[in-house]
Amino acid sequence: MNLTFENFVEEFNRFTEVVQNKINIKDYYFIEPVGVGVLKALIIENPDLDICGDPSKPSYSYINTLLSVPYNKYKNYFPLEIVDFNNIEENSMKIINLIVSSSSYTLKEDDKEVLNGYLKYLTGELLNNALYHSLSEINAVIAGQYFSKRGKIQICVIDRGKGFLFNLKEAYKVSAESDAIKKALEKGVSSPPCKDNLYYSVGHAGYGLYALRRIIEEINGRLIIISNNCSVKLEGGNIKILSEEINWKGVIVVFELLETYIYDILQKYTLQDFFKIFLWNEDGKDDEIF
Amino acid sequence: MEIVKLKGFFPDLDNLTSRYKGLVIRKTIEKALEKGNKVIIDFEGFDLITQSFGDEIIGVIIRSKGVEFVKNHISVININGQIKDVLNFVASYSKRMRIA
Repeated sequence: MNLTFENFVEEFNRFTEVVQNKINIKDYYFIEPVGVGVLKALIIENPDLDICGDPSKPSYSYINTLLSVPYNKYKNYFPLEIVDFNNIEENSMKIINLIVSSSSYTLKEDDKEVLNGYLKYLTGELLNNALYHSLSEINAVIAGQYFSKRGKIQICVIDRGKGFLFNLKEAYKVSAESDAIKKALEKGVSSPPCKDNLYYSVGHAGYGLYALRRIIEEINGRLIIISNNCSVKLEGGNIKILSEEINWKGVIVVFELLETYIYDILQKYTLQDFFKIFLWNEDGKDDEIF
Repeated sequence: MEIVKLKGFFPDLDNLTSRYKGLVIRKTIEKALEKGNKVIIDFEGFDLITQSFGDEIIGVIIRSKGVEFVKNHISVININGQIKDVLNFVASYSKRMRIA
């Protein structure tokens, strides 16, 4: 079987099950980036973890590349990067440039530039969330790929931090991961300053996940968020809890955009238009100071 | 008057999305302000910033010193519409957060 966006949550616990310091991926013929990213996160956390694959399946060579030691950040053909505070732009740019440059010929160069802007914005904000709020000891992993046959883009950001509930429970009076994820998708919701994070000394408003949500909704994309035990899916404007028995510590955000709809949105809105119309319509009405 | 030229800090980038790089710039801005200088932020060579980056360089200062202070001490040059919108958006909610 393949590990894909569709069955990722259903398969998650089996896929990540560690038995005697080994993870068995022999059943998986192909593993989409989100699965590879999850394995990478686990390996960073536990370098002795053994991933057992089947040499006759594509996932085997994929994972072997993943496991190459030392990790070579200049292998930009491989759609995975480890991100820390200092290299968010540099490393997300590698993934996004690769995705956009390999995307369909139906997109003109100008369209690709706009798409590039959307993706850089979204991944930049997701990585800020992952690094500043999560206290993840492995920093964050970003992986992504353009699937030409299916005409879709998949991007994921993964951390091994505290999750949404830890960050939001006091400020927003939520007591379950599912409620915390839903709250995090609302406009202007952000966690308060975290005393343990040296880089983060001030409170701020959050629009990163909300921006992602609005873009997903507007272009019929798909989004899955896992925060510790809970996974939530956004599709067709609805937020649905998929499972509350996920065996994970931290946050996984994975989204997919379909090329057909990407083309439509690029014809309608530049990034600037999109944010003006859908995000900042209620906020930007004061006197402009710049 | 001190010009903070972002390209001088990040010559290989054309977008600024991280809070960390925003923090680097804010520290530079704050040093100039402490000396009594006005600051011009030069965005030449950049076509995109995130709300997080904008929040770090402008929002934080507005929330601590007020919007009038920023109006009187910080200006920007070579910005496109996207960057201008982000900065004004950040300024708008930061002003309200300070009042609240």
